[in-house]
Amino acid sequence: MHAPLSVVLFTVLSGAGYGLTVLFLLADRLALGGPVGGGERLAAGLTAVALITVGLLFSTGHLARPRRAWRSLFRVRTSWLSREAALALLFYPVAGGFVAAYGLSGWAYTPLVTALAVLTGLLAAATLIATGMIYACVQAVREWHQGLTPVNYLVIGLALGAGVLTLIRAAAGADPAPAAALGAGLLLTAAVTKAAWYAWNAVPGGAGATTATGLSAGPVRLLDSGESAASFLAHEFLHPLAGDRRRGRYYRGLVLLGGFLLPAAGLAVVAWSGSLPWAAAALALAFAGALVERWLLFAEARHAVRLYYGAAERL
Amino acid sequence: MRLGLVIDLDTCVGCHACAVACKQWNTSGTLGPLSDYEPYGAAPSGVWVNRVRSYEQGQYPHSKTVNLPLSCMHCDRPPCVDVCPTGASYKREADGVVLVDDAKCMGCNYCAWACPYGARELDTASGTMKKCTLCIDRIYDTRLPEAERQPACVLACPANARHFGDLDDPDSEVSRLVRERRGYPLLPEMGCEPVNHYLPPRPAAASRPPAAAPAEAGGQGRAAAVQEWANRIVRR
Repeated sequence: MHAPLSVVLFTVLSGAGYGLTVLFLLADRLALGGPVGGGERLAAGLTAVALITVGLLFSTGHLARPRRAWRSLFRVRTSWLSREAALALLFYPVAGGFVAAYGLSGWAYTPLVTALAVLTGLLAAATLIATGMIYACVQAVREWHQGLTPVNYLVIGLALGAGVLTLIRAAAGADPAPAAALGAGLLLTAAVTKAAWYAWNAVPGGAGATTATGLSAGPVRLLDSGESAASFLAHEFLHPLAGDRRRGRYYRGLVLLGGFLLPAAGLAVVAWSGSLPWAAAALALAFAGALVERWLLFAEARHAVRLYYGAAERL
Repeated sequence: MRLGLVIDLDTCVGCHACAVACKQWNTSGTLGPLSDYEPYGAAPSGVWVNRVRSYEQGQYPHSKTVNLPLSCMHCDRPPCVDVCPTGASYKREADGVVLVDDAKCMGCNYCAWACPYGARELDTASGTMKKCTLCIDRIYDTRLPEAERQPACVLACPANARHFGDLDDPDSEVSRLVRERRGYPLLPEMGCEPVNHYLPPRPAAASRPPAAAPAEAGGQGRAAAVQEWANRIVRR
């Protein structure tokens, strides 16, 4: 499928912002790697909000009619995209309420502040899962339609958040080791769940050219698509990478090794040495890997429409 | 009531008249426009909500060309409607027709991803999703003669391969065709429960002319002898 740059940037940036929110609240409450200072709190909060907001602004770039986006807040009963939009919007007042209550209590965790912190973290995690479910509920795309899809979105978002948190903690002079260890663990988890996701996609699916056309008397071959130039369908659903399993394997290896395992090793070094440059390098690599992973999620996806264009015998 | 199409793959000749009639009617009807991109350029393209593709089934010489027109299936469980975040896509309670409210669509493409048939196309000129309406602005128009209250594609088909009707009514012409010709839906494993059905091509033997009967002794006189003589020279 065609990989929209706006959606790739949105899911990576906002995902990192929500992950950072969850893990920063955890680090702040439990004082992981020492107590969190006022300046650090401000930096982490602003970074999280900036990542989320810039990502959400990118997401509107995928809409042909962005001024109608407000309508997407009201179909939460059926649509995961609507649920994501509603959760993402609800996050702002709840997070704002948490910050206000936290500040008014003199930066102490009263029961109200703790409750609001938990609610903010839950909303951030729920938004990540809703983003994953947008893809997981599409049965027409074999790769997306599986339980591990939202798990990957959640784990990768948290891992990127842990990377950002490591950098912030190291820059503020606190001990980045707990955050870095958490990040390394999350990246390793992401490598495992993503590898399982890829492995599942190698299993042939049930749909094929025979069931798509209903012609069962023999092999079915496309003679004429009836199109003299690429249509919307060809542009949207016939990405050349989807049929090229060998090139796909190269990118999948790149994601698992360069995007998850190498940054995990980098964060392990940070956990051991507390080095700021290593934290920055690991984070940059993890972000680059997540961008490739998100692009590949589209480029490699085999949509059922491919069957009608003779692009595949089976999905 | 479940309105839908039954398409006979045995008689469809792949002339694209249905697609052109659809484009003509709907680009100027309530759905329209169905925009064209670079219509006079090197690679003209545009929005079509009914497309015809041609396939070859089997291996030569036991092969057959089958033309497959494809438009919205007006599914009983339409995934496109479920995923729509704005409520622009909806399925009508009364007759089961799946429609897009052009004033609400924000052009997010999600419904096109959810549809396994590729029945929806984004019109980048209007920024909204376009799809088959089953010619909703024809089939209920009482100003038209009753015989013309059918989708444009059905009226245009020169091979009478397209049939429109209520698939909920067991006595309707479309239900009878599905029953007698073993009509089937496409991609049933996707669970969308399409309303549109396709009638399979008849076996190859059924479309060949019957073998010539051996000439009887005496036959029909000289004319029959000449015909038989000619048939021997001109082989099929």
